Amino acid sequence: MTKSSDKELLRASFKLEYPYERSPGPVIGKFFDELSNEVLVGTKNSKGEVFVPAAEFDPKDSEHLSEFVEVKNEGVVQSYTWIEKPRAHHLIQESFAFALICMNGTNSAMLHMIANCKEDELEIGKRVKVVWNQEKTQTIRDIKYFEIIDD
Amino acid sequence: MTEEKKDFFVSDISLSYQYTAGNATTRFLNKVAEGKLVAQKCPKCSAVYVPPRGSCPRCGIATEEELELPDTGAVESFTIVHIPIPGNPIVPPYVSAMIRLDGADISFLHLIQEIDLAEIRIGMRVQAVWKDKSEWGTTLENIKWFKPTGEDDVDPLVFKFKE
Repeated sequence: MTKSSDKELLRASFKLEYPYERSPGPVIGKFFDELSNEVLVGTKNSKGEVFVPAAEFDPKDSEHLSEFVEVKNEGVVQSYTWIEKPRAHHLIQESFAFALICMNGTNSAMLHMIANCKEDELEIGKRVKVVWNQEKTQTIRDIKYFEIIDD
Repeated sequence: MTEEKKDFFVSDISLSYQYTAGNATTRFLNKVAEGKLVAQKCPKCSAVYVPPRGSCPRCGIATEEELELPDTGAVESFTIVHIPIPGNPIVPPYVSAMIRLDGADISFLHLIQEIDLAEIRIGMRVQAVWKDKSEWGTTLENIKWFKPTGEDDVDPLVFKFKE
């Protein structure tokens, strides 16, 4: 511990960690695998609705979903939160947005980041597209971020 | 998913933070750095707290009187740990114990070593094993662990919080 200059109180930096192993399962596993091929897949229910990221069960009626469909790597901003000053743990160190993005042709939204834009350029309904990470890890990080499509 | 694909990935959750010890703990740890275990006593109910937190949780008043306790005590409760915890340098099996110092009314968590695991029991008398003085700092890690003294056990009823 070190003494803080102002009050002679002891201080120390701590790090609380909980590393654990997680199984993605057959559906999200397939979604991650395809990300490393720069392909986005969703699952389709019997009504023809598509969920991206691929869902194992229909969020409304719990129907078991196993039919995979490929979707285009473009979507629409459903909502967002602007991060003006990223913290050390954020993957992007310049101002960016966390956003719920509805991929074209789907009935769901995916949480990811939108970068390479200014705050006043971003709005709900804006069209965005995937920017892929060069290095693939078969995780959601294979999508580096989304960026606005210039119309 | 086919057999050769990876089934698991490591998910890391971590929280970095700054801990400020506060007045009572700072005083306690500065004394620990000198090899002393200094408790605080409640002016109302006379309960002795080590490590002290600056107040008596029962009476809700500040504790200012300080008194040095010996580095001997007894096992109030214990667990034998057999399962390794990732990132923990201590090799199982080892004993984590709540240790009640002589003269204290609460116990604190520390290790017990230099013991046959079959011998560990509530009421067993123990004494601190300190690191070399050159390694002392403002941490309870100055005490490497506690070891049995071989004295007669104490009656577990002494652990009852005095009214």
